[in-house]
Amino acid sequence: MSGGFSLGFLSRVYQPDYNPRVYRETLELFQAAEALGFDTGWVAQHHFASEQGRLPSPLLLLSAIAQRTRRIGLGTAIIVLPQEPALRLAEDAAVLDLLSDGRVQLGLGAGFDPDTFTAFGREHAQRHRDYENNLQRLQHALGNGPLNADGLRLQPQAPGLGARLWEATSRVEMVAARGNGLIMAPNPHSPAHAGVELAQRYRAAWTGDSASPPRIAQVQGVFPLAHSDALREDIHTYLRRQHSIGVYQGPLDGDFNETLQRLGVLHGSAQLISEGLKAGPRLGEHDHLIVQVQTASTPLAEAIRALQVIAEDVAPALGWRPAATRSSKELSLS
Amino acid sequence: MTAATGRPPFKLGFLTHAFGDNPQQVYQDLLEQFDVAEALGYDGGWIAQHHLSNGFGSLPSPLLALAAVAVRTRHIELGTAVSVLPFEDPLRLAEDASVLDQLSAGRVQLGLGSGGANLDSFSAFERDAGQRQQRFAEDQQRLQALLDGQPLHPDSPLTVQPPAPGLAKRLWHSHGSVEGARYAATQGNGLLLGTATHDPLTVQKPLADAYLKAWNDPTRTPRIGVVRAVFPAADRATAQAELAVDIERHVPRLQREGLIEQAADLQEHLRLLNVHHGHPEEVLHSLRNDPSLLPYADYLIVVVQAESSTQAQVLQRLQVIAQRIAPALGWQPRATQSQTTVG
Repeated sequence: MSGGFSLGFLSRVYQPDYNPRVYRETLELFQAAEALGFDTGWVAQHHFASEQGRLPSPLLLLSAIAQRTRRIGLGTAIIVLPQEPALRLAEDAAVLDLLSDGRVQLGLGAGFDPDTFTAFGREHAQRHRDYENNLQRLQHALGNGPLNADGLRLQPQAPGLGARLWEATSRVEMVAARGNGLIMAPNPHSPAHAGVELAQRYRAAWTGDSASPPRIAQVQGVFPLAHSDALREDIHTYLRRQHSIGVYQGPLDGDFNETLQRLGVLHGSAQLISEGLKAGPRLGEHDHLIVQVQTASTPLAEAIRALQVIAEDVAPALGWRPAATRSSKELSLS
Repeated sequence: MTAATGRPPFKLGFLTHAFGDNPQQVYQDLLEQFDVAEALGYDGGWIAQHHLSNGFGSLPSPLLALAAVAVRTRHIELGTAVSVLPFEDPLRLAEDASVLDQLSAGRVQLGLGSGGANLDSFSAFERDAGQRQQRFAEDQQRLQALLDGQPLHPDSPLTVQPPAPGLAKRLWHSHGSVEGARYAATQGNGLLLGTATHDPLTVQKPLADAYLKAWNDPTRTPRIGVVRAVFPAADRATAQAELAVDIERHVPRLQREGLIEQAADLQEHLRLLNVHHGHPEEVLHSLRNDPSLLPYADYLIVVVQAESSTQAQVLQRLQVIAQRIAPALGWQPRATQSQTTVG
C-alpha cells in the first residue's frame, strides 16, 4: 500500500440491548473522527436489529450527523438495495447530499440475511436480480433520466452523486462496467491474497469514465487496543449468528487469535497492524481504507481511542495524512 | 393550562411546502424556519412531501429533513402533512419514523395522505392511482400495527426496530370525504383539515362533525389539525400585493380541477382559497369567522409561504402570528406555558 489514500471508519451501530443513546454516540463518534482528520465515516443498515445492528435508516442518521460535522464524508456500507424502493432511495440520497454539501458516499449491497428478505416480502434467492433492477432504477433517477411517460424527473437533482456510488459484491467486472466504486472486506473462507486478486480484476475490468477512475474501499477490522472479555464474547456471539444462517462455516471454538486471523481482523501493535495492511490491496489516491474498530458492546470512549491510534500511529506509517494537515500544507504551497 | 374552559388552548404549528428554485437554499431556509419557530414558542413544524419535478414543492424526504431539524432543536414537534403513503413501503416508513422519533425524543407527528395531489406521479412510482384509497387503508393499518410494536407477520418473532413508544398514537389522516373522516376516527387517528381548496363551511365543517361523531375510543380524545393560509402584513393592500403573483398563477389549475368555476379578481380568489390576510386585526377577525377553525382546532397549522415569498417575509409572518395573532385567540407559547407551570 502506498500513501495518499482516504481514511474512513465504519460503524455498524451495534448495541446488545437497545437504548436511544446508540444514535447519539454514533453522532459523537463522527465528530471525534472528523477532529482526528478522518476523511469519511460509514454506517451499516440493519433491519429488525439483526446482528444487534440498531440502524435501519442510515440516511436519516447521516442527515442528523451532517448538521454536527462540516467536512467528513457520509457513507453507507451498506444499504440493502433489494429491500429499498429505488426511487425513494434516490430522493433521500439526493436530499441528504444537498443537506451535507455533497458529502454522500452511497454504498450498496445485495444483503444476505434470509429472515429480512421474508419480512420485506422478497425472495432471498432473487436478491441479485432485485439488486440489479433497483440499481438500474437508482442510477437512472440520479442521472436525471425521465421517470414516466410525462418526463417527470428526480427532484432535487444532486450533481455528482451518481459518481459516488459503491457496490459490495464479488461480481467486480459488473461493478467496473457500471463505473462504480468497489467495497471489499476480508472473506474468512478465502486465502489472504484473494482480496488482492479481486482488486486487480476490478481495476483491469474498469471501463468507466476516465474522469472518475476505479476506486476501492477496503473494509478492515482493526483492534489496536488490548483484548477485553467483552470483545471476545462479542466475536463469539457474532460467529454463532453467522454460522446459524450459513454465512460462516469455520469452527466456533478455538484459539481467539486464530479466530481473529480467520476473520481477517488486524490487532496488536500499530506496527503489526500496519504490516498487515501493507499485505492487502494497494490503495491509491482514489481509494479508501475503512477501519471497523467496534464490536457489539464496545464503549464509545474505547472506539474513539482506537480511532486515535489508527489516525496517529497506523495510517501515517502507510503514508496517510489527516485532512487538516493536508489542507494547511496545500494552502501554504499556494 | 388556565381555567377550566372545557377546551384546552390549541397548539400552534406551521406548515411548509418547501417552495423555491434552488433546493439547497430551500433546505437551509427550512432549517432556519424551524429554529425561529422554536424560539417563538411554536408547538410544531410540519413539512409537506412533494415528489419529482412537477413544480410544486422541492422536498421529497420530509423525515430526512426533520432528522436534521431534530439535532438543532429541543422542543418543537416534527410533523409531516402529509407523507404520500402510496409511494412508501410501510415497513421502511415505519423504520424511518421510528428512528426519527428516537432521535427527537418522541417529537414526531406523522400525517398520511393517499396521494390525491400527486396523481401525475403514480406511474413513476409504479403504482395504480385507481387503487389508492384501498391501498391507503391497507398501508396505514400495516404502518400503525408495526409502529405499535406488533410482529411483522402473525408467525414472525420480528418487530420494527428501534421501538417508538407512543408513535402509533401520533398519526394523522388527510381526507377530502366524509367517509374518510369517519375512517380516521375509527382508526383512532387525528384528522388534518384544510387545503385551501376545500371550502371551510360546506366541505370542512361536515368532515369535522362526521369525524367527531364517529370517534368511539372513550380513553382518548379526538384531535383535529386545521391547516390555514395566514398572511399578515402592514395592511390589506400590502398583503394582497405580496400574494398576487402566486395566487394568479394557480387560477388556471384550480379552474381545471373544478375548484374555481371561473376566473374573477384577486379579492375573490383570496376568498375562495380562504387566505386569511391583511393587518393583524383583520387576520384575527377573519380567523374568528372561519366556520371550521376555532370551534374545532386542536392544532392550528399556519401556511405562511407562497412560491415567491422571501425568507424574510416567512420569518416575519411567523413572528407576527406567534406574538400578535395566536395569543389573541387563546394560544400560549411554550416558554410562557412552562413559566406559568413553574410560577
